[in-house]
Amino acid sequence: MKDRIILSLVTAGLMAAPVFAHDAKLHKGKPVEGTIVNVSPDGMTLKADDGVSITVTLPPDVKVESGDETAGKETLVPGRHVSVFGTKLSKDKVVAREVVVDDDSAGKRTRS
Amino acid sequence: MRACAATLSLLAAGGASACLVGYWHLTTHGLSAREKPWAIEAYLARNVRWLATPKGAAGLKNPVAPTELSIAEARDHFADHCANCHANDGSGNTLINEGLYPPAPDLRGEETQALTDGEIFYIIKNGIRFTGMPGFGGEDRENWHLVHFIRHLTELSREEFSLMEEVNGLDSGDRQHEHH
Repeated sequence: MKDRIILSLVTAGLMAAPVFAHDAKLHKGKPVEGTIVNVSPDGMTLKADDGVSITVTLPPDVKVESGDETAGKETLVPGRHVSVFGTKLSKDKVVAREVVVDDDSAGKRTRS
Repeated sequence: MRACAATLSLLAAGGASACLVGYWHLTTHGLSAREKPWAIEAYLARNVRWLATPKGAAGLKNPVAPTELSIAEARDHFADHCANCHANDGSGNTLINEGLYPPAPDLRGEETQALTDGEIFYIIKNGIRFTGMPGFGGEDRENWHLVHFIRHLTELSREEFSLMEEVNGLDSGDRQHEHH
């Protein structure tokens, strides 16, 4: 009986894992990484790590994650460092499918 | 009657000779996929391809309008699934395509661009038998976006080309043409 319970829990855990994992099919190409400069309801501007200003469109169905957890758009505030996965319209314009907030920058912000 | 018999004999002798030459060629050269198709093969293949596309398919109109985003998404899709054989610029100048028999055509060329949207859509979805082109199935909407992108290949910009390189890592060193 105990074995069955453990086996069920392990199976449930394995089945649940993809829910929390990043969706690999959303991740084509390199993400744009940078710090949020400003945010509007349907977009934000990043200062990319190489110094370039990037315009990011945030569609209504964009996925936002903080660390390994799903988060809301309210997580996206100036000063946070993010990785944006999506479709690049050009070198400085991206339509996001998924935004992953860097845990460290979230932590720093909370502490400040 | 005698002339007819002589003609038939000549034809039979010609046919037998052709068979012998063909047999000799096969046994000495094999059937390498690295050779270029003979002109007669290419001609026949191009002209019987319509048989593989149902009548209704050729007349299908692309139901989705192209947008900046849909073209960009199809560009990434193409880079991810198609460029290994077709190359990012659609030229077909890739290592894999060099070994295909028949090789995929230059998608920017007349041979492809003269096809209707419906024919291109049908080929993406169902493939082409006896070639390296698989039938991808997939979502109709995405396939129609790919049709737009294949049309767009003729005006692919340097920037779009480099965004595709980001997706698949294929660059000019991977036997792709220098992009003009």
